[in-house]
Amino acid sequence: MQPILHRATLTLGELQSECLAVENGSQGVFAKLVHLQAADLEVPVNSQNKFNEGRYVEIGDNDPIQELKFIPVEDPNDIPTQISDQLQDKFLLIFDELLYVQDNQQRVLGFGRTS
Amino acid sequence: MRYFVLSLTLVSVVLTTGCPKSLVKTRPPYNFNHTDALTPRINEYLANAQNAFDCSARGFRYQVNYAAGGKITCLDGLGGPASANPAGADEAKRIRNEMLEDAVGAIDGLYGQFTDDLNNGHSTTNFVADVVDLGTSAAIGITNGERALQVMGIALTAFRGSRKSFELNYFKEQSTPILIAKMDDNRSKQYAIILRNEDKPISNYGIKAAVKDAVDYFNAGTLVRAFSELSKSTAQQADASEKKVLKLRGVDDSQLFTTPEAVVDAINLIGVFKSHYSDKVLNSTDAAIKAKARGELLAVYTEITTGAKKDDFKPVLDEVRKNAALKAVMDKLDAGIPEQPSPAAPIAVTNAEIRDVIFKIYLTARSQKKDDLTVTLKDIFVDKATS
Repeated sequence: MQPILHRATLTLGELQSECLAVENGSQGVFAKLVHLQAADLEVPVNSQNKFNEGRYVEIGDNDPIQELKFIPVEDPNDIPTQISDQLQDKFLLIFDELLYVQDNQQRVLGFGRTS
Repeated sequence: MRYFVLSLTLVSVVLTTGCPKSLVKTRPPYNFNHTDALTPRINEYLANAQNAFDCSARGFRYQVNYAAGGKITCLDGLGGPASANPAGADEAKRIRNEMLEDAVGAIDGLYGQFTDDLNNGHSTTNFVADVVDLGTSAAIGITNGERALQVMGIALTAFRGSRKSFELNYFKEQSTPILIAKMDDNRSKQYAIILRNEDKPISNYGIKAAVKDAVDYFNAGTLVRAFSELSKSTAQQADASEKKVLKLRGVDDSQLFTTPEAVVDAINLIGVFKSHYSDKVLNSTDAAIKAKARGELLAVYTEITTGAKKDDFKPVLDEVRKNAALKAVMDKLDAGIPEQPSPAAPIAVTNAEIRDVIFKIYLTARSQKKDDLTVTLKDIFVDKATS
């Protein structure tokens, strides 16, 4: 699948919802988010040059959809605890990156769980 | 000649047998399997892939001799009679990407086993030792007849000293979840790199670089890498300073996510229904649950095909019917089938088949960017599926 660019103006919840929609077949195939990161375009598209680039891989039609949980990082010292807490709920870390959230850079941990 | 050393050595290749002895222009054999004969086979597979890649990149066809371990003969007038392939560059790119995906798939399987073992508290020190031992013993020269191709040597130098006691002790001091999380993070980053590189033409991303990426992907999921990343002093702060914003070029508007918010909500609600109608529910041993799910799916299908929006769905249904298997199911459904077949009677259409048709209709509507039909479908699910 080609990368999907999500708007930089979204709230973190809206961004998570869009990523889940891609997983749920918005592009015509079911998919799994494998990476998400803030991206600046050298040449603006639709007058915008700030996006979040989502990388997805196609999955089978009957494969379970990965649940997503995006958590903003306010204090990097909390990261090990956050990761450990999520792992208790079987959410595995997908990414630890800067994202554009409401046009601001925000470090975010992204977790996924496939039942 | 550099030697080909792979941490991929946990992956092996079993070459297909029983096929015609020589076929023109098929892909290199890639049937991964777990056996004891690790290194020679992975090297053989990659050597064949590289031969096929090189041959195609130069614009020639090639033959695969399955009886001889998938050996590639390039039809370039040297290895065999010349046979030009005008689409050689595309074929080479396909071979390269297929090799990558084969490697990623095999590595994922092994990684899953590995993390399961970690979670279950099984011994891990053997794994670290295994990596080191394989790194030092897996060197194998690629000697191939027609052309002096060399598979890029990838040393496990960074890993050779890793069976140091302090690292094993370090592991013992870490919680397993944190180590796994670090490996997951490392792997996702490397996989993102691979996906980006797969888009590149062969002139910018050759098979040697692809092999290196596959090896990096494997290495990203090792404890050794997790050690080195986690043992950085003030790791979190260091991480923060390394976080970057991607710089992208060559992007077009087809990549923009433009689906309206209301449709996003509809899509995600349909996703909930998809999760609900799992095989576990559709094949439940509880007859009532199974029957209820079947009734709901039949009601959804009937509403799609005969309800108020049937004309809007028609182009989508026509597209789905192009799939012969799905058409057969739809024909049976359209002819009318019992709400619930008797236990003794053969099932004309299974619950899973009904579900598959419905979600193919949904995916087809999405691929045609039919936002209105997506919302309609969500409404139908909400109305008919009361589970």
